[in-house]
Amino acid sequence: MRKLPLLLVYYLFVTPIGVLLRVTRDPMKRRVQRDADTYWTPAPVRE
Amino acid sequence: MSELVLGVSAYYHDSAAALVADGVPVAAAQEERFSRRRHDSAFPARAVAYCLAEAGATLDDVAAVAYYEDPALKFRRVLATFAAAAPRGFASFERTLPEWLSWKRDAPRQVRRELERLGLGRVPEVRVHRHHESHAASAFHPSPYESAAVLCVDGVGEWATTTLWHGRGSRLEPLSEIRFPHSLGLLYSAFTYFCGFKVDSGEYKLMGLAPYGTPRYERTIRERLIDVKDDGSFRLDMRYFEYLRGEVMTGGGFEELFGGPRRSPEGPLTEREFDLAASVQKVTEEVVLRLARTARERTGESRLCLAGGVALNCVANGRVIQEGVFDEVWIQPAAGDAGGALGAALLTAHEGGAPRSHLGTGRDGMSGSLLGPGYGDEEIAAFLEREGIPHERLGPERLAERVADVLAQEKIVGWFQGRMEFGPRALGARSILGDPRSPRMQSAMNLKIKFRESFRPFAPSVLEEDVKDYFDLPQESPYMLVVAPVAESRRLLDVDEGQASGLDLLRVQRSTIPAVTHVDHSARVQTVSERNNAPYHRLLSAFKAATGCSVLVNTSFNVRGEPIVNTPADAYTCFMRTDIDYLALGGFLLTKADQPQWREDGNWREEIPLD
Repeated sequence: MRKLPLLLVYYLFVTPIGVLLRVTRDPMKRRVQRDADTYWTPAPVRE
Repeated sequence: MSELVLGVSAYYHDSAAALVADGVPVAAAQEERFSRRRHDSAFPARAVAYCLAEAGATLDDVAAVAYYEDPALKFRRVLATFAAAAPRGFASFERTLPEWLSWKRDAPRQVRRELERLGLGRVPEVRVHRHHESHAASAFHPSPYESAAVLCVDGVGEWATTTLWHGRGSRLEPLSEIRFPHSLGLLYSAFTYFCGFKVDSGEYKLMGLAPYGTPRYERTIRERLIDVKDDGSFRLDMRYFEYLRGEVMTGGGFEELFGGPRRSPEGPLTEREFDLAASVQKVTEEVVLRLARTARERTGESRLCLAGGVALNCVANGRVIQEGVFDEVWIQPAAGDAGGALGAALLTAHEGGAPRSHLGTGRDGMSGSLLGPGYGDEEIAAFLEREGIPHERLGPERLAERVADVLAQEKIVGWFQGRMEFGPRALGARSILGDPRSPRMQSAMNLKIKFRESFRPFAPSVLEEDVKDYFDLPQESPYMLVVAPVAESRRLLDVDEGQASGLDLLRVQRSTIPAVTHVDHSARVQTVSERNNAPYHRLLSAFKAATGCSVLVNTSFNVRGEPIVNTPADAYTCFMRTDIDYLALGGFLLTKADQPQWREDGNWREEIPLD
């Protein structure tokens, strides 16, 4: 019976966080930016 | 004893192990070849055992184990993907979260446990490298270049999907990247899925299908699905893709754009699939070309190294070479995730100060990618005697001559020699060979040997010294990862296509080597040199002496859906199950007509899953 806790976590935590993130900062950068020059990002600094 | 590093890639697809001694790859193999499960993703226990045995070592002799990606970082990406897909991704959440929580986020610990279970000695420190770092290392470190631009393009590892590097000496400097979900590999996989092929293996079929179509969807793809900048960087419009939700690649968005639901697997292929393949292929080539130009500008280098699953797109690689973006291009033969095992091991070795000792020899450090298990003639003889298999024992020269003769009579030959290839292509160690001049060879090999779709083209091997006589290819292609046009002089003029259309176009004879000429006059070329593969070079030379032709059809030694054969027993089974006429097993020649009747329980065709 692991479905119930997963359901609860998914709809009570993951979903609100996901929706909030999408509205505020779109971490997946889902929208294309036709007027941007580039989509390259600098390589992350290695620890 | 030399300093050994063991590399491991596992738990996604195509698990592999690789062993590096003082910075030199000495053994590498994919687990699928041992387990006989294609693209096996399980821990590569048998590949690890093989690599150690090849070097006569145990884990006690290994200085470090290198794992090919960073699972903690990947887990953060998986969590971010759950959040991004919510509330519509519960199915994927339910299916994948438990295994991530229980062991996947700490895969190196799992690797350690599995290695301990092998009982091959004390397990040393397990080091973690990033997915693209492993790809980049597999592309640059074994390359013959002192310095080069390095470009890695794939589906996704942790976050990066496209990375650009500058390799100098033993150092790899990361420059820029593009991150998930924006991925050229996943764009290609989405079309693979939509055309009814399997993701992570059917991409090759889509590429083979492309020349049958016209790229009439190119504009739609460019306007709606992907925004590509001049510098090759890109972003996908995620409204059209379903993979954030985890269960499928495409859905309603694709159906609206491309006229209805996806093709069902094994359903009929129509004009639409040809044109979709042609379109996404064209877009992919354009993006790769722009990425390559940016790599040149950013590094100032005249040589390029490639890896990542998209580097297996040999048509795109061919474009980069044809357009002369770089003076020379080197592609890691195991460009997919299996090569990550080797890359990770090389990273650890070079970070520890190992030199790139092949530099200055003019050769790469891959030993022709013949890094898998080999079986000596004594071992093969024992197998033949034990099984009571009729055979002739011939010396190397005599074997090459006999095989060349039967090939010239349009017979099909299984060619099993030396150490097995590392990477997806058969390079003349585990190959099925035929006469490329024969107009019936292509369909005979597809239907009677490989039991696969008739549209799929075959690839040529050519003597390196004669490549220019047959193909417009300005550099070597030892790993069969470059497509080049068949030379004008070999093409037939005024080809009458008659009533042929669609898949029948492949049956039209377009050149003097029709079995390896695709419908657009292209061929996926392997150049064969004596230093990389002496027995195969000897055979090609004997075939040339017998026929005047320096080319052979080379396809992997397997049937559809099955991994390439590894052992003499695997090879004999495949030989007996199919219409292969002769089997050259090391120094021995086996004739089909002399063999006892083949019997096995059950229907083997049903046991091999379709690819």
